[in-house]
Amino acid sequence: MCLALPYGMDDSSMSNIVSGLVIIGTSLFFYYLTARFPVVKGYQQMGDAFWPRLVILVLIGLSVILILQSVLKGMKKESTKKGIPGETLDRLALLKTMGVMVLYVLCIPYLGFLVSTFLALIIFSYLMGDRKVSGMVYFSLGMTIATYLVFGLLIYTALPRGVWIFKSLSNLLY
Amino acid sequence: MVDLFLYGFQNVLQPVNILAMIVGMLIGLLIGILPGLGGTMAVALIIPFTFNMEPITGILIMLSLYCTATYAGSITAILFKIPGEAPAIMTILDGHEMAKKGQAGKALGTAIFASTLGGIISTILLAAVSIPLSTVAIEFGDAEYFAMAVMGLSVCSGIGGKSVLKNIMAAAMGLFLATFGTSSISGTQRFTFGYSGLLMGITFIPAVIGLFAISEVFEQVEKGLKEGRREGYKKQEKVRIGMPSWKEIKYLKWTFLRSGLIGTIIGILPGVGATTAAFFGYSEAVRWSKHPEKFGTGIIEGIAAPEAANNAATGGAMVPLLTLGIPGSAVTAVMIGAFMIHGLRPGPMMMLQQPKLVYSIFAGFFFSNLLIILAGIIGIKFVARLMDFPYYKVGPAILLFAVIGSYAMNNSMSDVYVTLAFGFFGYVMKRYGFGLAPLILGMILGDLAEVSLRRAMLLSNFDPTILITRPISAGFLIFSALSLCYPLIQKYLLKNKGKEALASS
Repeated sequence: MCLALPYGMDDSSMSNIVSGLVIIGTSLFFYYLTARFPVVKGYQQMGDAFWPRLVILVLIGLSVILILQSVLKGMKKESTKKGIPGETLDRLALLKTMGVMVLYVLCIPYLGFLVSTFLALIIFSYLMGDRKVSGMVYFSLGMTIATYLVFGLLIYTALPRGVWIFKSLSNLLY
Repeated sequence: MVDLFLYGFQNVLQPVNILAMIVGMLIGLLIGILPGLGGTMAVALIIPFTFNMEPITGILIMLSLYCTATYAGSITAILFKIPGEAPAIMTILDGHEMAKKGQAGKALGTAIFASTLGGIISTILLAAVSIPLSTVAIEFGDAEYFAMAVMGLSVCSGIGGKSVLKNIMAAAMGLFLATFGTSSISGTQRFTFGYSGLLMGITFIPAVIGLFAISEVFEQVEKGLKEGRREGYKKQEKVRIGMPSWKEIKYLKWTFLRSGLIGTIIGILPGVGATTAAFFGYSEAVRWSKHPEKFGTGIIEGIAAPEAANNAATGGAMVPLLTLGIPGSAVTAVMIGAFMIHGLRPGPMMMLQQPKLVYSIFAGFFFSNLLIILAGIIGIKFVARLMDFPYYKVGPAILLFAVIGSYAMNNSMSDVYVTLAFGFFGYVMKRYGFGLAPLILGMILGDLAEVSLRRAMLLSNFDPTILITRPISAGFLIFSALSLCYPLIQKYLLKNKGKEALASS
């Protein structure tokens, strides 16, 4: 749903109603979870569930106001806002970048930090418009090495080494 | 007292001590620029290197590092919308907007000037009124702390997105997210879903990196990158530091003074540090401004206020440390360890028995803040070159810094997952018009609000009137109510004025 809405529709009635409903649904789920909190002796009154419940109820109340406001606004006049004129959104590039970002983070424990970072940087550069292969490779290599020097060597960050053959490779490199 | 000050300055200006402060400044600069690396970690890492030094030399390295790291976060905040340090979060709002308009140099210059001045104001206050101030702050009970948290939250309606309602909702979301993890009062696990990475709650810095850095890259990519350039950016021919003019300094004088004072007082309060000081500095600048609607659009007040406040908080945090031996922040908690390694025990006895050392620390603090100017010049020359890079170089670099910065916090992939999750969350929040700043405000103040409220209630036998019968607490709460309603009242008044103007015309 979120990807179906162009920028500039932040204040539109429909997006407000949808976001209000999502927040209410999520809040009710978490409110249900607060019932599972153990009651600690000495803290029966105003226990651990008190504060989250208070905040959740406030959030639900505000979401209801947001929805009502949006419904009333929608009844008064149909929103005519159709995004910023001339603005084009590259949703495919966004989805690809998001996907690669998730893959990158998930791959770090398996491929090791250096290998996964080198590969991810090449793909990110390509997705963001770089078309020069040598430029992408040099940039990715340079950034990966620089990160290793600063974090791995200078401040002794234990960079993930990966598993299997990648672990052996990482052990060779650092 | 003058003699002691003169001795302090003389001691600090010894070549070895100047060198120590420069080394501290350079490390602080590096730490401050790199997101996810905090001053606390840097101070902890530097302690072993100070073993063989004179106590004052070792302490000066740490002071200089602490001051510079607090400032340096603003460089990346302005240029890349990444807060290198958490206290620079508020600087993003106007600093980055100025950079987008091609005024990065002016924004950076204002940040340097404000940080230095804020730090110097706090040093003067630290030296002059350290004992009385800490006595007042130490008198605060739980009711006052709760009211103070509410007062901090009350500014949420005026910052962030355009909608007051959505800003308040975002702050409530932040308060809710702050409840994740182990309860500070009873030790119960809340919303951890059996995942050990959530036991300590949502780690703040990784969340902030995700919210501000990753969501920004997503947004830029979605908006489309023409020839790899960011949408809306003016090419920065060469970023030159544009220090504020005399006219601008005169115009900002109350902002500097107010933020310097707020930052010092907040710095004194235990557990409330430079980040909160920056929030209060910014929100008070909005409150007192003749044109609050311009905040967030790229104005120098929006940089001067948080930067003066966050650096002033560093001096404030030293007050309870030096006078009472109580750390006012995570960095000063680590510093206590460093003092002890050198055979010193901060507290009232040190103030009485070693005044020469104490006044050398005051003088060291003064010079550490002056060194911020040098740090700014070096840091900007180094970082600003990256500004003109095409986005296919900057975007991937931001994503890499976000990942490695959050990982390096605790050498933990859990923090990277938090960063990623908050990157997506921040993107959705922005898409739907919810402000990120109120969300962060809620996350910062959530624990303070909950713990102090529950403790106040427990101690008063669940009598809620304790919040309004204590004068300071009542004053804070009344102020909060007015502050929360202010944008609505202002809107109503403007509407009525508009109608009157129409009718009369």
